[in-house]
Amino acid sequence: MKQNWWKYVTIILLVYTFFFSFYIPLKPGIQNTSTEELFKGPNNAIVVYGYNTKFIQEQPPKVFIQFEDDTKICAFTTTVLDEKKIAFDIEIPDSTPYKLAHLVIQYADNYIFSPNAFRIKGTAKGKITSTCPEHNSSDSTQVVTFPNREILNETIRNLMFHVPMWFVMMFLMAISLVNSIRFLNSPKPIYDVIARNAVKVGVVFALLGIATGSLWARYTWGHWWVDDTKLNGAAITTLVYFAYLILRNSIQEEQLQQKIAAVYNIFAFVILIVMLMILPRMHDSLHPGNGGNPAFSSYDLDNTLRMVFYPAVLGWIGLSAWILNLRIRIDKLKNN
Amino acid sequence: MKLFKYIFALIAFALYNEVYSQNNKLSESMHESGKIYVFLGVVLIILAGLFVYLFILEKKIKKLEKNK
Repeated sequence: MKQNWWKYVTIILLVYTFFFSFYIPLKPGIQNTSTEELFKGPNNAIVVYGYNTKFIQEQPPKVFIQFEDDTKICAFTTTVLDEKKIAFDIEIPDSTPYKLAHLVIQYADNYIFSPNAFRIKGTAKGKITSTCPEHNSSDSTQVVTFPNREILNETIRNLMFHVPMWFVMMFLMAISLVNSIRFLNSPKPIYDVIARNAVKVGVVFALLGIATGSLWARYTWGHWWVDDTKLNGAAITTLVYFAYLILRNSIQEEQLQQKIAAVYNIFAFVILIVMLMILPRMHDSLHPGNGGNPAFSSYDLDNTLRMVFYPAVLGWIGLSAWILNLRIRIDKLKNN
Repeated sequence: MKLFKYIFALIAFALYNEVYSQNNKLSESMHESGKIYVFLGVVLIILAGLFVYLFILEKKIKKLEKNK
């Protein structure tokens, strides 16, 4: 009981992760609009389809478009069609110099923003002034929600499942590295057993990470596999560790096998560091939250996500440690 | 070997889906309601993967038990 406390902590953390990553709703957002082009002059009856929204006629939402320098143009009429649908009319001045416009809807306490929702047809060189009173753009939603991002939408919840797979893999490979070094220092068989089994479990989690990422890529980027630094790095790392397992099995003599595997493991971990931690920071990636610290940039993680993401990482690491623990015990039984 | 049959069937299904994905229902429904089914698929892959792995482990333990 005393030794196993971390297994109970793991169970609690994973139940927490599953519950909240399913339970917490997404922030209201804009799903799509009936047109993506606005013409100079009046544009009538543009329909906006909201996601998770609750538009009501009694409190008509304020609709306006916003240009890159914060100039705003308000819709002159807004009609609520139902909870998830509104229509609005807007007039674009002839002298509008901008090409793209963001769509903003304010209702109740919500502030919905859809970047580059419209293209403006026709060119002009002029200046326009805002036709809107200043809105306060603070989002004062009281309900706990996950952020609603373009393209990501509901799949932002993958942060609690796909991302920890890679954390778990790195954790296990680090354990493997430490034990390989310990084995080279003093060749006790137990170090080798831990190193080998950590790699075996780590490869399973890497495969899960690749499979889940691939499914997600199919429906957000359009293909099962795309040319991206992180994807290729992850694939190379996985193959390097497969090579570790094959190398082990190809050497008959036991002591030689253990020693060579330990040395190879150190090089494999160097490749992991380069492929998963250095190269993704040097190149741009299609992954959400890139250009900087992968998955940890303060812009991409809001506090609600953090509240579930950190326990999720700990929970998955706990689960992997549990499986590793079982495997090591099996191997010990085998050798006796 | 049964496991490989299942995996093969899954791959065949994925290929079939890819080839006929122009107007198929699965591909459409994946994009519906904020891609929630993509998330569901991800969770199911992880659970299925872990369970398959545990079954393989169990087989190994059974072999050990028989030998003793």
